[in-house]
Amino acid sequence: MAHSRRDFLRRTTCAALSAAAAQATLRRLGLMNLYATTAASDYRALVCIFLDGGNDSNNLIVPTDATHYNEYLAARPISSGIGLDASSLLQIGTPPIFNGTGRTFGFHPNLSEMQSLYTQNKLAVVCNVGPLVEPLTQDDYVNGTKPTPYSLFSHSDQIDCWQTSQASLRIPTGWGGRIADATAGCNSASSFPTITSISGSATFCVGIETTPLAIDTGALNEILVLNGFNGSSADDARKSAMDFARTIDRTAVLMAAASDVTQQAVDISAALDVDPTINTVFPDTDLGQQLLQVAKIIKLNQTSLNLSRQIFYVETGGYDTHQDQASDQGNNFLDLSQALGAFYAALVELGVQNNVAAFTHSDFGRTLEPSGDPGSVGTDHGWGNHQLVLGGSVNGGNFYGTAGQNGSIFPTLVMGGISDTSPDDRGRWIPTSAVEQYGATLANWFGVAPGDLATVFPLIGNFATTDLGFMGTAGSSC
Amino acid sequence: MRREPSSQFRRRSRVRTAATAAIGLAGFSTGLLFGATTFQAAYVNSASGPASGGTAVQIVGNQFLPGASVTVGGIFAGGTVRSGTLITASMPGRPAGTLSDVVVTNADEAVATLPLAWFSDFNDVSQANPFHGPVERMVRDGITAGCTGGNYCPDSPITRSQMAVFLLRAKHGGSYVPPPASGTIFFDVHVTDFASDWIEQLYAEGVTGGCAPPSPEHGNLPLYCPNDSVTRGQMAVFLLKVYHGVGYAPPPATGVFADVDPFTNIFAAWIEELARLQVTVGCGGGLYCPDASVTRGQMAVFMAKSFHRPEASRFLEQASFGPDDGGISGVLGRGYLGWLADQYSAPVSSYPGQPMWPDDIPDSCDDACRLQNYSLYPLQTRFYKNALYNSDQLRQRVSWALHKLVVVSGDSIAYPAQLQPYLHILDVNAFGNYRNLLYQVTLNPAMGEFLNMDTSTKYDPNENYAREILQLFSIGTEKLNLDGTTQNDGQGKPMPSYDQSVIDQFKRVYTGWYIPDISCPPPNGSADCADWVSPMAYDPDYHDTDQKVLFGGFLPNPTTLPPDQTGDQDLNGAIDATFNHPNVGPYLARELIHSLVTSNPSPAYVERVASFFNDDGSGVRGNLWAVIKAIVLDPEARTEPSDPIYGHLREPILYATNLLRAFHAVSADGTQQSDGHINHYVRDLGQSVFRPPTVFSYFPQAYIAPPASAGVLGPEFAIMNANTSLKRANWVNDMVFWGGIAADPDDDSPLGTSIDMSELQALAGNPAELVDRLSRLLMHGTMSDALRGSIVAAVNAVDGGDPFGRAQQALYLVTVSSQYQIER
Repeated sequence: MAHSRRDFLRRTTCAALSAAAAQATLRRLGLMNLYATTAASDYRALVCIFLDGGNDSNNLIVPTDATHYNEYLAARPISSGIGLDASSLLQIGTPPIFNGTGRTFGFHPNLSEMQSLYTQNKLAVVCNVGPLVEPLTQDDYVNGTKPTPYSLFSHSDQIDCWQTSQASLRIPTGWGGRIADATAGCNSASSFPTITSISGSATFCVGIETTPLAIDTGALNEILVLNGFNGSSADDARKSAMDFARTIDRTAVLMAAASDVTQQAVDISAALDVDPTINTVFPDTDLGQQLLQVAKIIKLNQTSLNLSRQIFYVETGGYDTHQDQASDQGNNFLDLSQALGAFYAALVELGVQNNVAAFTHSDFGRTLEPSGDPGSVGTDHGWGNHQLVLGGSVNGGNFYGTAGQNGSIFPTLVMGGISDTSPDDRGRWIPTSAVEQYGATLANWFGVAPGDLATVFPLIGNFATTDLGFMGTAGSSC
Repeated sequence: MRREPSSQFRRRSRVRTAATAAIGLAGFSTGLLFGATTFQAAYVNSASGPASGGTAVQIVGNQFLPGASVTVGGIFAGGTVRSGTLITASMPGRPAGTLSDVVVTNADEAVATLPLAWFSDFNDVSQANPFHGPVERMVRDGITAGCTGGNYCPDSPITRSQMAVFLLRAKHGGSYVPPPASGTIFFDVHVTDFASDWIEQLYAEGVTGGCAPPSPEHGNLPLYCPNDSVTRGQMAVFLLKVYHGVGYAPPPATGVFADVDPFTNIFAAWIEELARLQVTVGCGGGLYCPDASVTRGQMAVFMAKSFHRPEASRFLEQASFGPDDGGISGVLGRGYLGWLADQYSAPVSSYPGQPMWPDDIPDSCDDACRLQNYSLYPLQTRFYKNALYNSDQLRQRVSWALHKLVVVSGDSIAYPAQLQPYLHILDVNAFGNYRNLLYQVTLNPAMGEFLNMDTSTKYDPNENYAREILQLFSIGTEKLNLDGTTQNDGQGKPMPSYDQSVIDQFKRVYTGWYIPDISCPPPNGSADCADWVSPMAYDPDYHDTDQKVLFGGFLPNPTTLPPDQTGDQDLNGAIDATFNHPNVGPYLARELIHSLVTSNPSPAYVERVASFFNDDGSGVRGNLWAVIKAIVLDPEARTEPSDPIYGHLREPILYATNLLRAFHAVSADGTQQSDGHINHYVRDLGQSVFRPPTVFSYFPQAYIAPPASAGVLGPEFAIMNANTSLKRANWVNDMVFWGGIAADPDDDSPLGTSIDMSELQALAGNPAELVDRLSRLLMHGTMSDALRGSIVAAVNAVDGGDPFGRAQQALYLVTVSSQYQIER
């Protein structure tokens, strides 16, 4: 190609690519060899796990030293229906970053696989992350002196803020898609899309150039099949007319979009011709089967797809726990822990545990204060939230984040306390690390060149560091 | 005085350039891409009336200024400016049977003209005359100016000479002028005779050979019989030859009408084809009356139903679950306004009221019992049956749009007895007032359970409903202009319409309500059930009675709910405050337009519709019927679009129902109606009826169609991906090639579902005609030449001895094409 992919990316974010030019580019990429067989030596993959609804991470990680557990308990008494008993928590001791402070923590009782992976240093906790335009103190927020994310506490908008990483204005691309745009050069040996979603066409996956592949769970060689063509001359004529129809009438923008989506399906259908075997047993849950599908695509890549950078997207719902949080979140966590445990085991089975990093995100955290009857108690929409990052290249067994006004990366669990949006609030944390920093840390590891970081994460310059430190050595930008 | 261009509906080009679509530079949902609306007149509501004048009409447009006035045919008609988008005026007397320009002169003297917009009725075809709509149509098409003296003479037989004029104008347009006659074609047609030019041209085009063959006593010339009347049998041939082209030959007759023998009546095949197209249903009693003369009134109906089918089909794509021939003829026979009036009063489709069953499934409840009482099966099957067979198509379509906006999901509210009352609220209020809908839905138990207003108390108020009713059901998160664009602050950033402090006030309103327990009806009398039918019950002990200030800091006049009000007083105050928020009109207009017409309406269109929400013309706010009419009658809905971003992807449910309705879906064995068990197929396409994944519905409102760089809204594309795009084609494959959904009681399909392609088979001998038929029926005649050529070639690849195979080939290719999948 006449210019580097990075240059292309820079130019197109300044003056947006016309639809026609984007199509031409996509078609050009489509000409590349789908059947190259040499696996890339430097493989890296990101797996985004979206916890839909707004996960209450106040019950994901709970302080267990007496001082801080008592703070927690004051806000969430056992009698409220969602206070976790200290004895039930899965202890992980003192994270190294808290050495000398006497602070200890435990996971929710249903997260036994997470506890185990944490103690093996394969899992990290990133504290109080959320959408930010720039660093924000409680006074800033109360006085309205600094810009804040649009439509705070609203599901759809905060999902957009998380998935686009841009809390200042609405944009149609996600940071997964933009990372894929920036590292497309790594995948020049393949025409298979960089991003595979097992859960629809989420904004996270949409780049300027990148259109994600969305597939279902199920046998890989049976999920993208066009039925009804059996090789008769009439069938062949029909197939050829159908194929031709996708190349015409491209002036109407939405018709061209429909044609391109279908064209991608037809192209990919040919590549997904086997259903790789994964010996690790995954839970027979929606999330478990989605992660199994990710493992199968990774295995297929080892034999035929020939991508050296991949991004995956999976989604699991039920986290909007306004009511019945104790049982609903408990079930969700059990599923999450078992599915992630199986996924890590599958990565080990495939020998790529050091090449793949999985990370969570959610709409927002939730109020520390319970709401509703003790019989059906839940919590309301919050802001900052803890996240989990899993993989052999994760600097696991530790907590990460940015110290807030309380001097700690971990929020102060006091309603109306210094971590809260205001002295009158109910335990909604102002994030101390931005989504952009969380994403940039993953992007650094993935191989986005330092010079491209500000293109992928336009607000990153507003924050002190572009790397929160929870990932290992940065990858090649190809 | 500045003269505006006299196009009926001027729209600025909204083709997005690369510069304005820059990602990350301009907010894509803001007004930046569009700019403000400009002064224009769009259309006249109810654009005909008595020649004597006095009809009150609404003139709809944009940027009308107080003091604007109206002339009709140059005569001052006064005009009262009700709003920036609406002028009411009283039509002056105009000559009967004529069209007049309607001209709006704005207060700043700018002028906008609606050319020939006002039709002054013929003296003998009043508004109540059943031929009024079709006759008006003929005048607007430039086909007739009537007979004499301001009359149309609807009951006079049409002569063959008049017919020649009518048919050629219908074919070539109202301004067509045939070449001069030679007088040498027909013995009985001389150059000086009335319509001689037209008669000879009709001959030249091969539509007629005359009424009698050449004979020596007529100078070896044929006769035309110009003054004879035309029989209904003859008319069938004339209409179809003009409609299809002279090479057209209808499929063989089979015997449809008792008085049209398929073997001996030479017109039988033509008459039956006319019936198949539903241009005629006969003269009553299973008869066609082939020898009766056609009157001028009947001719108007024949003409409307023959020559305007594509535009009626397009109308029904927007206003129903899909056009079929009967529906198209229904629209053309009544005109849009008449059809809309029929829809308003059509019997309301319903969902079966289910008896309450306990939350815990009794052991006695077997599989059949569970299907009926513990699954959405009864509601989902009824949805499809209503959509396929019931007459209240527009109400159902609007109700579906409202469900997508005011969401309760059967994912959580999973029993039919729980969900049915919610659906009932949407159905009965679809043409009612949005304030009633908001109030009723707020107290609906399914909503209470879904968004946690149930058992929200003053001690622990739950904010979920307080937030979502604002964000999703009424005002959205950003302040809107009347045209739906976002209001931005000085830095170009959207201004929020509320914040957490507003939610904190509202959430205290919605306290004290709960779903009461009742005794289960038989056969579960000893168990406890919840009452999902009545509005939620109220317990004053749990209602927050402190003062609430609503929209403080966000509206110039916040609503204060004083202390010590009852729950219902507070609720009414909060619903009023919400309903009266200036965002509701543009928000609802935009979302309903997205659902019914196009993902990318112009701001001017949104503004015109939103204004009808604010004031239906008689001072009522929230009249959904006025809003719906404004959406479907607007020129931006009715005019064939040139804008490349116009239209929307057919969502899976509409994709399915359009195919099923067009080809008269029946049971698998073809003997009766489908059982409606269709959802288990269509959900694979990404949309399961009544089970949106979240309160954000089946797809997000702001989703951008790929590629993101084009910045074009396409919400339905959120569920159109590699996976579902092939499943759409596979659904068509199953319906077209595999007989549809088999009858299989083990699969909850007692009857199954199939489509009837016999009419397509009948056209299989002429692949071009077959494909054109599909284009007219399914794509309102807009199939491109390139697509048409390629499908015709593929049809020709099927052996001519396999007409069913040819019909399958054609139907599959049309319905999987992107041209069809994007409804424009």
